[in-house]
Amino acid sequence: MFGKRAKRFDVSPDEQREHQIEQVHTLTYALLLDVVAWFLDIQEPVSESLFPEYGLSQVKDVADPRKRLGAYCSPRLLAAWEPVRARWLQREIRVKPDFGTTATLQIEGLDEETPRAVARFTDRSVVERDQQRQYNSRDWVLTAWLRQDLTRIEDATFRLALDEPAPASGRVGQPAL
Amino acid sequence: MPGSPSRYVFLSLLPERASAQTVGLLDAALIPESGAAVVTAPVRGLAFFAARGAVARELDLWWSRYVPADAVPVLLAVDESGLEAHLGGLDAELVVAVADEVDRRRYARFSHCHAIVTSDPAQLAEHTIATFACFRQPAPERPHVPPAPPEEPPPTVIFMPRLQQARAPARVAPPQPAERTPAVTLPDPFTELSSVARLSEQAAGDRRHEDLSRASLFAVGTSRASGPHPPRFGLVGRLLVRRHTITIPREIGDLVLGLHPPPLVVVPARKGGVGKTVTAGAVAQVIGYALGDTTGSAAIVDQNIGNPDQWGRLDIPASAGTVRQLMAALSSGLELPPTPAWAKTPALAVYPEDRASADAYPPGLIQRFVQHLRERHVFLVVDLPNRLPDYTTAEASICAAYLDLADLVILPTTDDPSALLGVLEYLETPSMRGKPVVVSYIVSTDRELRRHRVVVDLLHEIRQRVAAIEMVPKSEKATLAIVKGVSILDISPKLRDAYIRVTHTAVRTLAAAG
Repeated sequence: MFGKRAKRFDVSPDEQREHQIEQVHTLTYALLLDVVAWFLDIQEPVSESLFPEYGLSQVKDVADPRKRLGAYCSPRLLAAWEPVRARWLQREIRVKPDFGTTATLQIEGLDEETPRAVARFTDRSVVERDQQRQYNSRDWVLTAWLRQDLTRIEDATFRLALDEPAPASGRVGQPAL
Repeated sequence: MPGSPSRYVFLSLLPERASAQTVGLLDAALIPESGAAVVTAPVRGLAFFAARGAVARELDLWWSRYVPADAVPVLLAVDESGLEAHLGGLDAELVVAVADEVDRRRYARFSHCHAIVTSDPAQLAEHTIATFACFRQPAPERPHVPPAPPEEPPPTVIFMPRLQQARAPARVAPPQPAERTPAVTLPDPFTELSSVARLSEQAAGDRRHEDLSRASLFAVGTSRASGPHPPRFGLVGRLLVRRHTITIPREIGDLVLGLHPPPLVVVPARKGGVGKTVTAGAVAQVIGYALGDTTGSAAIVDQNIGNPDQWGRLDIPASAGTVRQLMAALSSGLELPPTPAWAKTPALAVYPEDRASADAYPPGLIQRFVQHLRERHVFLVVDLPNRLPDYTTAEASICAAYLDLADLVILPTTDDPSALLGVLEYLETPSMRGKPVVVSYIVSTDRELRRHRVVVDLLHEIRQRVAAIEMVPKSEKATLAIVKGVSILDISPKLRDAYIRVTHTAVRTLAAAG
């Protein structure tokens, strides 16, 4: 038994890389979900059935998305976003958030000082104010810079993706009937 | 379950992933006081209705446990050919997802059927929620009375995408609307956030990242430094650079080179979600590695027409010639299309299919195509659709034509009784007569399931009729490998060893039949 257990601690380089990718994937996914929940003031724990890819088990039961973000984002980053959120909330715009079924994630520099994750997703949300309704259909690029040990997101930006077509992801990952 | 009159019990017969999503949504919308319940059936799809023998007995037991006599059962299913034949005396409601209006009309004569045209589990759930009174109904739209923003409750469901490893487009992207970016007048959270700059602008750092990505792509000391593949950027490229050698039993390569004519191995299935494409890809990769030091090469061919999901994930250059192009050239004597894409695996050529059309090929043309491949490769693996072989549909006729030419059939399956029944169903088709078969059996991690009498009995029955059953551990890493663009042989040593065993057995079976 102990031999088996001991063997499990021998992590191969490939397993280590796999673990790193998982970690970046988890943080990027969580960032996207929690930022949206924070801006929309959704005070609910993260539902495992609705968001099975949300891998931060230590915070998923926390209802406040700001607290969840605080567990893995730099305080400076959240402080920079606070006034933006306050301004947004003052606009009294309602959003039915929908970010499609697929997005792509590119990870770079895992062996470097500042690993970077670039997620590209499509915003198909419905935005409403008074009697005005708008159907979004735009690609966004979320770039996140992580701490070298991949435990925290140090910096992040959202930018419209206007330059290049989205990688063809087809219907991959969509649970089709 | 306590008894109460006219309680609904919703039974999902949907495929696994769709079922999970639909059941989740229905569960969330149930009114607790209604006493209704949502459960997933142990056998899904048509197999639920067509079950016989031990499986039927198990299903009866299961039904008596979950559906009280005073309840109204509601089945949730996806349309399948022949499903309506089972509905005549059905003492239950049925909500069925159909592909189009034509299919919907097939269910019109059944008063207890609710057919909806959709391929989206969420839409099926929405339709069910709207149809039955035991769910919380969404607030009706009131177009003339604008809702007051402050009173509007915040949305509670965010539709989130699945993040996948980015890569170069494997297929030509579908045509985009002329105006991709509509004039946006209302801001959204991202519009607001896009005004925020990086905390610390690190232009030099960014440049360094790009340089590192390029420089580290084919690291010094790897044999790929001067390989035939165009440079790829970032982690994806680095992941595909082998860090260690995969050891393949020498016997595999020796046996393959001794087989003549080059064998055609097909990988079909009756049921989806049994790892068919993964199995085909892994076997082809193992053969590719086994032939790495020889002059021979293997080929993997996508003929899984109508289901682009799996192959759409693979990192195949958009310029690679497709099977359809090759078929067209072979049938009209035109110049042959570009050479196939070459996988990262040594000695493995990849023949992707054109997704613009799902038409079948005439059997004679398939024969010429296979002959063409046999002149160029020493081992052929073809990924076929999830259909029984016959000539009623394009996908079924593709299966029939390739099975006719096949030297070996690999049938993948899982512990799911409907998948095991699918294997038996496949073995009974006339096209399979005299064909050696190896079953690649993905073994569940659930001991209770894999030791369940139904599973054991079905496996026993299959074992009597095939050359071998090779076990593959169930692992999410198989999907992970595809999502991340990593070879299945690289993602997990256990999976690698399992697929080497499957390939070894397949090659030995071919040699023995030979």
